[in-house]
Amino acid sequence: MKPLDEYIRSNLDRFNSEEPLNGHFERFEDKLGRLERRRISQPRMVILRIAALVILGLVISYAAIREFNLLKQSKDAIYSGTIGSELDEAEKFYTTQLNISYHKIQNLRFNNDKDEKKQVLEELSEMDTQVQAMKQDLKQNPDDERIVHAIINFYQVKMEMMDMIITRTQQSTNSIL
Amino acid sequence: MIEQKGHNIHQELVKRCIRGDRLAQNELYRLYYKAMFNTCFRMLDDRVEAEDVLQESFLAAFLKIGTYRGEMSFGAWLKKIVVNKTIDVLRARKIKFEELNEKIAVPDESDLYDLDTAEEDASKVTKIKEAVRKLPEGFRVVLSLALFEGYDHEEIGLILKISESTSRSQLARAKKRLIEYLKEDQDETFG
Repeated sequence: MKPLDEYIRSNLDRFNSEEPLNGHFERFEDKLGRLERRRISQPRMVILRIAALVILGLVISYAAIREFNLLKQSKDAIYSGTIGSELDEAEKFYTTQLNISYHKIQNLRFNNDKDEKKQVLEELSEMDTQVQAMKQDLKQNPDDERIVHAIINFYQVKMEMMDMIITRTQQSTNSIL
Repeated sequence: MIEQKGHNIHQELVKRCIRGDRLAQNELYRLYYKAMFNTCFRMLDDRVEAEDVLQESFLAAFLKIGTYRGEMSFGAWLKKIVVNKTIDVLRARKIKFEELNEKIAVPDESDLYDLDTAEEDASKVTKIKEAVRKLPEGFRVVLSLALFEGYDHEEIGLILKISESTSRSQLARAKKRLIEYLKEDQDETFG
């Protein structure tokens, strides 16, 4: 062993005497907090992305149905009868449930991340505009059962997605407390 | 590597970190920040950048702590992350760890420098630290990895993407330069 090497190795503690600038513990704590928030919000955003993809799939298949129907259906059909009542019934049920879930999400604190909460609520509202478009088309094709089922599917996916957001957010809040 | 002694003495803390326990993460930071900071600082020679690399390394370690299998000490595992992040910063500074084409071996003359003087250890350490800081960046990095972090030439070659022989010869040159600086300082002090 050479003296210099040996000297450094046997005095390593003395050589490791430099300190970071004051306040580094606090700066690290801040960075840890940001990391934690990112880790928690990722699963919620993943749920939203998956739901958005499922809904996009529903919209595309619905659009295909609609194009097909336009070719063969008469324009003077009336939105009434058994199909309409099936949708009315489903709509009553899902509207009530979706409103309850929406209020629950509105009341969640999202670990004080206001931006994330705003983004979730905006994405949920965006989904409503898609169902309105479907309903508009149902008025023009009142006898098409497939449109009704597409709308009901849409409500089911939205419902499940909102439940997942509520559960995940409550779990992450509990793990922090 | 020096750090491979003392396996998993903080296993409990590591387990808590895997569960995302913030207190445990802070505790590990407090236990290891100083050694890791000195590793970064010696190579980067910039306190602000060294702190940044140090903290980013801890965050990266916490993100992938689930992959830590305990085959080496936690300190050695963490140091690998710290060293790699430091090298990334050095590469961003455009520092190149080039292969040496010449085949002439540089003799290691560090045994010619006598550290066995009456001088206080604190003073010797300060002088060596100052001399290390004066080294060109490439020399400082190889010397730090070899003498302070305890990596062998095979490991240094892998880290810096150079051959073992280049690592060996860079280290010999770095030591030679370091000793020149130390001798200059000694001559100034003792006339």
